This record gives sequence, structure tokens and C-alpha cells, in this order.
Amino acid sequence: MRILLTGGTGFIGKNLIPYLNSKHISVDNLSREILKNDKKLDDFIKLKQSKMKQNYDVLIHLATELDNSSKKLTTTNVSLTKKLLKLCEKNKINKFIFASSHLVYGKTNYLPIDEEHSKKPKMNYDKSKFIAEKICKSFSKDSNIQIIVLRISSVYGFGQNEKYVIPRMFKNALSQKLIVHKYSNGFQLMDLIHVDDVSRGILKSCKSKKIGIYNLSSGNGITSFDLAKIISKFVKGCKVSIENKKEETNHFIYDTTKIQQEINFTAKIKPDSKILKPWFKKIIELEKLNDSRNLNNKRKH
Amino acid sequence: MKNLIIFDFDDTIVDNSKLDYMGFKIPCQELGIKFPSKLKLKMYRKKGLTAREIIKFFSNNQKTTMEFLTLRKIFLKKKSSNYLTVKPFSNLVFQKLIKSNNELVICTVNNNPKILKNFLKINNLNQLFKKIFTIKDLNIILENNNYSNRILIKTSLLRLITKNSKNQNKNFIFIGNSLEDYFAAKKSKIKFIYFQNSYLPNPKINNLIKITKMKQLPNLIKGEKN
Repeated sequence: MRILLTGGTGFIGKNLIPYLNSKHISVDNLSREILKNDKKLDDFIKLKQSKMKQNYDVLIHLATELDNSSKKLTTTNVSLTKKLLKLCEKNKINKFIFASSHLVYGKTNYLPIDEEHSKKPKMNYDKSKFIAEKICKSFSKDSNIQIIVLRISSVYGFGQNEKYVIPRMFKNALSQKLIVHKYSNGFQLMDLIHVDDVSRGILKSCKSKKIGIYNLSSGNGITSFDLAKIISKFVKGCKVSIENKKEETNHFIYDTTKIQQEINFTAKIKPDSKILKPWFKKIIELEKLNDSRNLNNKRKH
Repeated sequence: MKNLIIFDFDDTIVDNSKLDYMGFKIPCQELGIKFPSKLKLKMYRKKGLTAREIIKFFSNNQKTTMEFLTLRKIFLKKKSSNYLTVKPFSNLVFQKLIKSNNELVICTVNNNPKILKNFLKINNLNQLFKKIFTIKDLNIILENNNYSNRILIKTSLLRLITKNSKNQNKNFIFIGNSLEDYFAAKKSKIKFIYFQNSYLPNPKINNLIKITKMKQLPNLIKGEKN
């Protein structure tokens, strides 16, 4: 199997490439950071459209613009999806995996959220993913490309940016300020999926003969408070403080029955101390390394 | 087509008013604070006040309020079955509904299926209900003392019930006593019958199908069928 990938330098992509390579699958990464002459991914596709040298079996589209205020949101998340699908058509790439988001569902009506749940995306990012899904759907009807849309829930794992829940809690625990928000409807209930499980789910989707939309999640809920309690044990004397919020939060757990039955995928990794503690230790080691580097730099100056 | 009639439990099948009153009386006596009379409590409940809000009329002390809420929680957990009673004519109505080719289930945010099962057994109702759906069936941990969480739990349970009977060509009817039940039914696109003989505030919703006595239910459902 030969795979063409977008978004290979993102968090999921960085983990997916070595995973696929470990399974002896060759991956070509179509990422904006590896393009020369400051060419955007978009322009690259224009150039490549008529003359792709390699034959690919699958295109995995992970590239995404995350900034909700960015004007590039529609370009990257919507137009690029369309262009990539056309690229698949022209180059006879028969399979297209689109990484969508659980955020397309918007406010939760019931739990666990299945693929039939109403879709009311709130932010521009969520809306752009939803429009891109619709483009995939229409291509699926009108072309021979087998399309799988994966609605990926909140991903976690080593190397993740500090703005996400677990790395943020790590940082706060280290400074003894592990605060958890308690909303008027309780602590937020979340469905977190480990990045290694995401990689497994994507590979299973590449191999599957099924098409359609699937929730790629763990199917298990954990509250922000339970997560904080696990993390607080990593630091001596660290206590979880609760900050009451007047507003409500959106609870989310996803129904994984469809992906289990059709793609044969079940998440294996849970966000427990076995997984979180080694990650936390790595962060401390990295911080120590950074501190000593900074100290050396200061001495040199 | 067969009807699957889904009943809410608290204050729909059972009369909770005595339990609610004792849930004030016993902890308040233990703490040595005043507590509302039965009449006053009914008035507060009709206005939609929670136990936390009601006790504040009798104690300004935050510590005492917290102690009261803890004692009340323990009391309700331990003594629930002692003070619950079935609403009048319920047993007969349920039997009549089953005879006219309806299936009955219970859907409740109550998270203690043991107490429910015990109560149904004591009152000879256990054979009449095909299944009891509680928060435990959802396999999630969610506080049930919050309004929007209760709607979420009920909607999730209704979704589970309809999904389980997807290929059985059934007509779903939900009997409940609150605004939460109404919204859960609406979100689940299930027909809703409001049981007004209630301890809770009456929802101000137009075109609501209502009953005030359990006895009215069989005819109403028969009418719906025709």
C-alpha cells in the first residue's frame, strides 16, 4: 500500500508516519513545511494535478487550519479538500480518508453521540469541517473514490501543544495550580482518544472496504476532575482546586458501535496513570534540559 | 402497530411527596433547625424550587445547609422504599394497557436500580414492566441533580430505548411529569403525554396532551391508536 498524506507535520501526522512506516507502508508527505520556494500546499496541488509520478492507493487528508479567526480556514479546510478529491480523481487514487472533527456535532442532545446525531457546528473551524464533509459526501456519490470520513474526538499524547487539556494540566500541576472548572452542570465529561489509537484507526480505515462517516473515539468518558486527580498524584503535595463557573459545559462521549462493527476498530489506550505518568516524566526531563541550556547560554553571554 | 409506553418513575408512577417531606423533616430534626410544613413544601415545589433553595428559607448558615444536604442524600438513599407509594389506580391501568397490546418500560434519571426494582416488587409491578432504563444503562457518570443534565440523561435513555426497538415497528409514547420530560421527548421525536397530577411546576406549553389521573391514560392511548 502506498499512501499520500497531507498534514504530516501536525500532531496526528507526526505520529501516523512512523506508525505506518513500522507497518512497512510507504508514505509521501504533502505538507506545506517541506515545500520549497515558500509554495503553499494549494499551489503544489495545481502543479501536481496533471503530472504525479507515483501511483498511490490512499490519500489521507489531515491538513487543517485550526485558527478560528483565520481567513485561511475556508481555503484550507474546504477548498483544499475539494482540490485533493479532484487530484484523487485525476490520478486514480481510489481511497480518500478525511480527518474531520467531533466538533461538527455542536451541542450534545444525547449520549453517547452516534453518527446520526444532529449537526450544529458552532465555530468557523467546526463549520468548515462540516462543509468539507459535505463535499466528501457529494464526491462519494458522483465518483468512484471510496471515501471515509473520520470524526476524531479530542486527541491526546506526547508532543501535544500546551493549549490542550492534558499538557495544560501537567503544566498547572508543576506550578501547584491544578484548577478544574466546575460548571453549573458539573465537571465536563470528555471522550479522549490517544494519538496511537488514532493512527491505528486511520490504518484500519485505509484497509477497509467500507465507506461512510465514522466516529473515531474511545467511546469512554472521563471527567476533567477525574483526569486532574490522576495528574495531581504525579506531583508531591499537589491538590486539585475547584473553580465554580456559572455557565454550562458541553459533555461529549461518542458511540463507537459503527466503527467497531464496520472497520473493526476499538480504542485500546485509556488516559490512566500508566499512560500519563511516563509522558509527564518526559516533560519534566525536557524542562530540565531546556533550563540547563538556558543557563549555559546565559553563561556564554 | 404495538405501542411501547415509556413511563417516567418519580412523581409519575410513584407519589414522592411523603418521601420528599420526610427528607426535610428527619435531617432538620437531627440538625435542630425548622423545616417546611407539607403544604408549604408543596407550594415551594410547585414553584420549582430545589431542596437547596428551600432549606435556605430555614437556615442562613452555609455549613448547616451543606450538612442538611448530606443528611438528606443519605436519608433518601437508605429510606426511599419506606415512604414511596404507587399513585392511585396505577396497577389496574398498567394491566389494562398490557391487555390492549401495549408494552411498558420505565425510564428514569434515578441512579439506584436496586431501590426501583425493590419498590416494583413490593407493589406487584415488577412483572408489568419489560425493562427499567436508568443512568446505569448508559454507562456514564453524570450528576443527575442538574436540570440540563437530567434532560441529557432522559434524552439519551429515550434514544437507547428507540434504538433497541428500531426494527420492531413500534410506536413510542412517553409519559412524564416535567418540563425536562417534555424536552427529552421533543428532542427524541417521541409523542409525549404530560401527567399533570404532579408535585412539580406545570409547564406553560401550548397544545400539550395532558392527563390529570392515571385512569385517563388507556382511553387516551386507545384514541391515539384509532
